[in-house]
Amino acid sequence: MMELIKQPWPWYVAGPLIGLVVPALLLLGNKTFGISASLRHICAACIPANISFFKYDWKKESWNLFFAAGIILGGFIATYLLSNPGPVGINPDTIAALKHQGVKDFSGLLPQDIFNFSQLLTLRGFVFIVVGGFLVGFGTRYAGGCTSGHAIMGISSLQWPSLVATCCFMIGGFVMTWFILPYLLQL
Amino acid sequence: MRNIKYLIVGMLFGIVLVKSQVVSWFRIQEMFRLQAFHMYGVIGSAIVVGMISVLLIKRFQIKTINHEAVVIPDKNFTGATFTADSSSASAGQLPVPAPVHYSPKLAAAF
Repeated sequence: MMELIKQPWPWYVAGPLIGLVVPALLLLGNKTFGISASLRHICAACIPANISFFKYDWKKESWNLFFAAGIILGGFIATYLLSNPGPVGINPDTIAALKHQGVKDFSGLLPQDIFNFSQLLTLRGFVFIVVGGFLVGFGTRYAGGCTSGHAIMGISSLQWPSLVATCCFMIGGFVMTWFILPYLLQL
Repeated sequence: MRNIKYLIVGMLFGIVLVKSQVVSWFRIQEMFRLQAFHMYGVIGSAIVVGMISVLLIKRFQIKTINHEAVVIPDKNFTGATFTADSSSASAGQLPVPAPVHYSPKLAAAF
């Protein structure tokens, strides 16, 4: 049993479990599934700076910070207690294409040659980590949600704006992967 | 302390995210290069299960553990999800398209 858990989980196990987070949060306290709002709550709590976007009662939304903290905790548990370390079993074609574009490390969840503290002060590392992080923070708040809030929660509850947002996320991902990333990897 | 339950749900969610490798940069690359079904399977089946759950909650008017009716706020095109929805627009920072409150209530179908 433990060996089964320690292997990577297939999509048909993971997807339905993620889907069940939606009713779990609704029934536990009328909470709508979403993660990126926690970024706003942290800003509102730490540096409101008299900005109207941050003027609201973030304490009422503190459940979301507990949820986000739980995700970090779960990530640690899964990584250090429930996994066999090793490379992610992705398509060899993807590995070949990424190697061709300059990615060197395939030993973990992320390419360590890019996402690494020692890379932070290089141009490429800065673009991937800091500029990328900024775009995640700005984009999710501008869109009013991320993959969880829009793609899963929003589409699950048949909300038209969420379908639009999800399509745009996908378009953005394709454009980045096919047209921009090859150049960023060369920085 | 009533927030602990959200910490636990988050923890289980975090475990699934790592165990299914959807947090992996490589999995995301594979997805956008259309070289695997994995990510599409995860997101797709999550949406299907979430949708069925929401349908069942509405159909049978299932209550929360505190016996409250389940309320799902509408998403809209203004940017934020609740409270100061139009605040950033009125502050003139974000170019919001004219029909800002376009949310045809598809959910009203059931």
